[in-house]
Amino acid sequence: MAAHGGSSEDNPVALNVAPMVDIIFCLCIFFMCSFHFKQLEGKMESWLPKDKGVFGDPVPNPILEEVRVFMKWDAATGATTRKVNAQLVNSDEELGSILVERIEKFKSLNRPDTPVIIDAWPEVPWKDVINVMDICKKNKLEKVELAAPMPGQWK
Amino acid sequence: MRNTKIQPVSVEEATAVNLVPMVDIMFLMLLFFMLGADMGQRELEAVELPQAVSIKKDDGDAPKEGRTTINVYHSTRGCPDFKDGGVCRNDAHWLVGVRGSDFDVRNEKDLGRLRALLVSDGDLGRSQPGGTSERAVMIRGDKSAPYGVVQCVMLTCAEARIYKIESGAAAPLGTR
Repeated sequence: MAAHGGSSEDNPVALNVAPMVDIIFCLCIFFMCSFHFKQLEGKMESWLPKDKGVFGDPVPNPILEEVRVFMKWDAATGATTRKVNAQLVNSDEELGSILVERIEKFKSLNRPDTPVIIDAWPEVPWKDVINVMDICKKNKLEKVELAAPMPGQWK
Repeated sequence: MRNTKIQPVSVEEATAVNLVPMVDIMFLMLLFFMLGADMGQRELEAVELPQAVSIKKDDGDAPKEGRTTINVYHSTRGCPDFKDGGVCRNDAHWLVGVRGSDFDVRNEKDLGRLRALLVSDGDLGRSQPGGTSERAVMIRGDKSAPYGVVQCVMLTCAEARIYKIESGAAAPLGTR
């Protein structure tokens, strides 16, 4: 009986890997061409008013009785201008510290439930609104409200 | 005299390519691309979400009443303003997509259709007819979408008596 030295030609059960390599090549090219990384997605939960209607009651003096972030889109500069009540705010850090300071002031006046109200124009990019909500959350300001639009503002 | 005839050398085996390491590496690459690829359709529309640090991880943990996903997306290809992350303020380019149907919120008829869809979805989470719905709505707004469109969607949710709103956001790279 002849001894075989392990040559693939001599082995009657040798696998032909060439078709498998071809298919793996094709799959690799498909996935490489269509590849983009999974984005880590999350959410910010919010609740619309259940009982007081969408528009609520008007506040007589919003500048004094609320902490309201006004946001306006400036098409000329391509940026959003932000004001806390009447004070212009430039950086995110400044916005955070002003909001915390004002909310603390309301707490000292025995009004701990005072919310931060985000009042943005319809043209403001969504990312800027989310950014203000993010700043509030980072500074532990959990009570954030979105101002309802003026009737007919968008439609 | 010795016979010095040179024997021919068989080179057949010496030049054979060993495919095994290549197949191993290709398998690994295939696994990497298959596992890393985002094959989720996200209910059809491509949306680049705004980034936020303080987001709650979305594990698909919708309430038992279910969740409706609403995409606010830019619908016009080749818009020069929207290119490279720019801000397009042409209202006609922004649409609201729900399960493959598009709605233009500036159009009263479309808005009525969206309201009807949200009312019927909301009915799945209502304990009594006309009551508030426990069903959630996930708004996946593109980062440069006009806030007005998102606001309009929220108002329509309120009209449909759906009050649980989730705003989709992406974790910045390197934060998790």
